[in-house]
Amino acid sequence: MIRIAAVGDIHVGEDSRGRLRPGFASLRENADVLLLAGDLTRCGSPSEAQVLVEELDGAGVPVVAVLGNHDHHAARVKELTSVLRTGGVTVLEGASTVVEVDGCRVGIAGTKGFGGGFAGASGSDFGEPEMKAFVGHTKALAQRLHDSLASLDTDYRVALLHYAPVPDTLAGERLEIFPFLGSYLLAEAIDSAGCDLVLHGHAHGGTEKGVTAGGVHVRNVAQPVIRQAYARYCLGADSISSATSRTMSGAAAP
Amino acid sequence: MNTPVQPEYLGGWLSERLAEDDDVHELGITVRVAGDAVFLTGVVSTEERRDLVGARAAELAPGYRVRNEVTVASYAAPEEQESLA
Repeated sequence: MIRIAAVGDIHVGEDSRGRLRPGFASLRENADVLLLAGDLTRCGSPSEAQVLVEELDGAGVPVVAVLGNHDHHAARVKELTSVLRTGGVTVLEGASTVVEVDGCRVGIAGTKGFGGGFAGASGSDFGEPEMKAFVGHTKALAQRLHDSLASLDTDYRVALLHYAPVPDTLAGERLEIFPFLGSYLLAEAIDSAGCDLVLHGHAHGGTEKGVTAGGVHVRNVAQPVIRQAYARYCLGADSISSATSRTMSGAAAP
Repeated sequence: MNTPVQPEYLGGWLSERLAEDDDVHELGITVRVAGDAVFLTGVVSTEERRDLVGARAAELAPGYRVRNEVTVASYAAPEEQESLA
């Protein structure tokens, strides 16, 4: 059994200091790992990432994250990622990591993902270079997600994304912006490789629960959707027990 | 860019300003223009951010009444856990 805490879109800014720490204080009691589904910062500055690291200090559980579109805005991804990793956060992009809790191993494959739309209403890798770049970016990340998931030999596998893989969890958002909120290519990769749970953010106006065509649970953990410090999910058991031993292994992309 | 003359374009233009302006960068704000009022909804991280969004909309849309219905995120610890097979 593994207990997962997850939240996305926390948009930490310089003025966020002290606001998240009280909610995170219960992590050690409630969860074995915290997964952050992108948009960790407001504008993608390393100083904002440092505020997040300070808010997470003392959380007492491993923290695994992917970045979101906000984290790319300042074009300082390498510096931002370095701050997070120095602060103990495992940052994934087209890579995976394994968390082990009392002999139960869960593999986490992470990517930001990207948009493009959903089956029957999606963009194509055709036409202008800008359009090819847009769809091509999603295709490349979906392929890396597939490969990361497929490489995991663990008791459970979790896909950690920022963009949505299914339209279910976008319910409440305007249909016109669905292509900017996610892509079915991510779900296709997940169903093809196999997975137990998908977590994403990005869709502030969406809903929490959905499922892929292949039957994999999808949860939109965008903070404005879950309206709490984090959501709690348990894989492998119906009851909560106290986990005492946690280790991490695996490699994040540089 | 100046405030659009045509009111039909005002909502979209305000949404872009709130997303793109350097000191705001709030992409989750829905803007609806109805008559002489601008309605703002969405969730931001602090009370100060909520007030900033309202003040910026008022500054960008002179002559309109700004109804700031944006709410502030709750960071309370969760009480419930979902078990997944």
